[in-house]
Amino acid sequence: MKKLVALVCSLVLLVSGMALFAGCNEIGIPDEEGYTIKIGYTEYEPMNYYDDDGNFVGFDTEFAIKLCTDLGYKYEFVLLNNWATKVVDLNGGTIDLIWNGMTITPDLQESILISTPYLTNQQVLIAKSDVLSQYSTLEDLLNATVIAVETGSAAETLVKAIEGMPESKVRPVQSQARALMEVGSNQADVAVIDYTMAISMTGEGTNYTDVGWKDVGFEEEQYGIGARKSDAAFMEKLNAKIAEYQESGYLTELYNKYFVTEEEGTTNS
Amino acid sequence: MTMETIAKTEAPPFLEVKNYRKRFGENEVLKGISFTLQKGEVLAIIGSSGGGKTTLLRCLNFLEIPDEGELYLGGERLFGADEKVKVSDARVREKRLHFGLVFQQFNLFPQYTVSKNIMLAQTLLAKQDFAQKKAAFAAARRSAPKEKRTQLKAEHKKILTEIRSGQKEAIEKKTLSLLERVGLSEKKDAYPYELSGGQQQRVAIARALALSPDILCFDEPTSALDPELTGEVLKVIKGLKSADSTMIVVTHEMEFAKNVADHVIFIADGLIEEEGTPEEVFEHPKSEKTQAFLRKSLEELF
Amino acid sequence: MTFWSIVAELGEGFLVSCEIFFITLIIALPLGLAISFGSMARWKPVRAVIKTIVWIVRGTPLMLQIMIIYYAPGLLFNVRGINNFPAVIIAFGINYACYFSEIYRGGIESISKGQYEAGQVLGMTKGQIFFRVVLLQVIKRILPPMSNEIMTLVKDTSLARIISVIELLFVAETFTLRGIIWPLFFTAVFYLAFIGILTIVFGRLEKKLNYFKV
Repeated sequence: MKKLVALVCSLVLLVSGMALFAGCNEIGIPDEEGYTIKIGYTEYEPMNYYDDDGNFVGFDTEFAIKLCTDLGYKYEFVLLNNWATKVVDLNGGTIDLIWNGMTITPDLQESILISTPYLTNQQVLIAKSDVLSQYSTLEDLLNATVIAVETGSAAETLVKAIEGMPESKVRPVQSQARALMEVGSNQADVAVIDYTMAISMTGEGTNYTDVGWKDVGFEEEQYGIGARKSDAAFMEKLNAKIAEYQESGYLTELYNKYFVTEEEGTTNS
Repeated sequence: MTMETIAKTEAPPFLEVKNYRKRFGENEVLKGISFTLQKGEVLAIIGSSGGGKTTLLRCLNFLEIPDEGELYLGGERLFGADEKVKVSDARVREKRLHFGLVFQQFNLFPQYTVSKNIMLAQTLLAKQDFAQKKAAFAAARRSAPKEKRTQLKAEHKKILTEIRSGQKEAIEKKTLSLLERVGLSEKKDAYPYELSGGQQQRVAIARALALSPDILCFDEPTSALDPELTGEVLKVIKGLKSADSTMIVVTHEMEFAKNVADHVIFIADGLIEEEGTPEEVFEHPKSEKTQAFLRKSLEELF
Repeated sequence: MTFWSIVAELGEGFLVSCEIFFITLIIALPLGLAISFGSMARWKPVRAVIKTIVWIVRGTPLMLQIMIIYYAPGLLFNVRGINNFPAVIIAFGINYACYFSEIYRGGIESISKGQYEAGQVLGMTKGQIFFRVVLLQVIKRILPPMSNEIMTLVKDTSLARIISVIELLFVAETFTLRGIIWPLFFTAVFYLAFIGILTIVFGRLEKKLNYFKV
């Protein structure tokens, strides 16, 4: 009886071990049509989000679907549970591309391959509307007690780079949405997030009616699509498509659809 | 009230229980039990299970509070169900100390050695006593003139140290003599799980005796034991009788009741059905219920 | 960055994890006992209230509790809420106290009535019976489930990172942002070492209480 149990146990182990191996195909985007590209994203307006009718929309959503389809690939959107570990997910094969309003930084360029920029963004400051007027320059951020930024984001780098900024003031949180929540719940005085997100998630008609945003003079930055260094061949095709779309006016069209609202913010976007 | 008390002092039974009644919900377990007991006597309580014997014993030890009835010990009214005032925990504990109880399941404290089991309650009481004395000394010092206080403090400290070591010595001596009495001197450092059931029950008896109760109660002390182990326990109880202890024994051992008891009570359905000397109850039972019970317990024996 | 400088940074995060662990224990061990007494109280309303609290706390994720304590005051009442570290401590303290209370209750209720009665007929007070007679037996009984729960606490400390308490896993994740991935997996060494020590400590305790049988 005992022997039988042992036999069954080892069989189960063997089978599950084999299944594990079978799941491990070689990582990389093959040069063949029909492959399903796994696109890593986090949900945030206006890049990748669900509209009021429950449709998955957004600038990057539409952009990615068009690009993959034009190249003859299938696509699948994979929700990243943590933006901080996106490079691990990419190199581990959980996803094939990072396509989620990713700001191009020198650090990132070292560890992964990044496409040519397809969108220009800027970091802006958000705060409760009644205190927004206290902040107009980067130096004014020194007066805040707690500044929330997405951990590992461009905002974190920029805020920490402000001269005289003590690290203790900077509170790294899991996502930009969390940074917004910190301000909404008074746990942080201000947060620094993408302009693209700030205009769609604060003010009238959002969950944060008493939160406003402001350009305090952060440098502009560029969005790019991330891929594994081993996928250089694919990256060439991707860059060619971006150039094509810029030429044809498709990207401007998308920009107008998702970023230009009737009432402009207080910025010079 | 005063008249009654005087009447009692003229012919005082050591223990007098009057009309004890106890109900659990719908079930009336004691329906009015009254009896008396003289100092140095052994009372055996017999009866079929569920008849209320154990409840009676638990009422005597204040583990249960009777709904009705009174209890006098040495002429002092110890309990009266008519007393409307709720008695404090401390008062109940004081009253309990008049009685000792040996349980069917021994209930030794498993984490303590045999001697610690016997010493524990004594030590706690001694500590309480010590604390009281200490407080009294402190009060005396406070009312003394300031310049004398330091001197007094030194004196008191000395006395207290003596009291403490005296207490310790007395407790140890008493514990050793009790262990000798139950024949377990060589087991004093053993833990309960290392002892046989009979030995455990003998330790439990020594533990109950440690506080020198006026009346020692046994709740079927041998019914959790293997037959070959009952003898040693019964022998110890018999030995206590010759030392003039007053005891109440609830038992299934008819032979033992016959040989050791001075007085036997047969309880059935919450009432005393029959009582008298062992000869009267065992040889010439008047009640039919008693006869039937005795017949049945004889049959079980053979 | 050298290997050792990264380990040193992880070590700093680990110290924060340890802080959460020990402060939680200091709060939850006694608080759990109080809650277990409440859940066994004779007065029914007390029992009902305590049991509802225990149900809610055990019935919702600890992560959610942390976020509620941290964010809810600000979002609901527009006040400045509790700072992140105290918020974590409050959430962990209450959560673990509730789990401990159920373990305590099980242990206390498993002690036979005879032990209490033996103490009573020997004239002991309720306090003396609990501390001199019952407590050690309860401790012996609950040691295995408690050690389980306490080891879970070691790993649960990593939940604190969701409100930006910079503990071990948080530090490791910031390394992955810079493209240094191995520290994330290296954190296992810290957790394993800590659990290893706890295993030894609890093993010794159990052995120590083996001198008697309940």
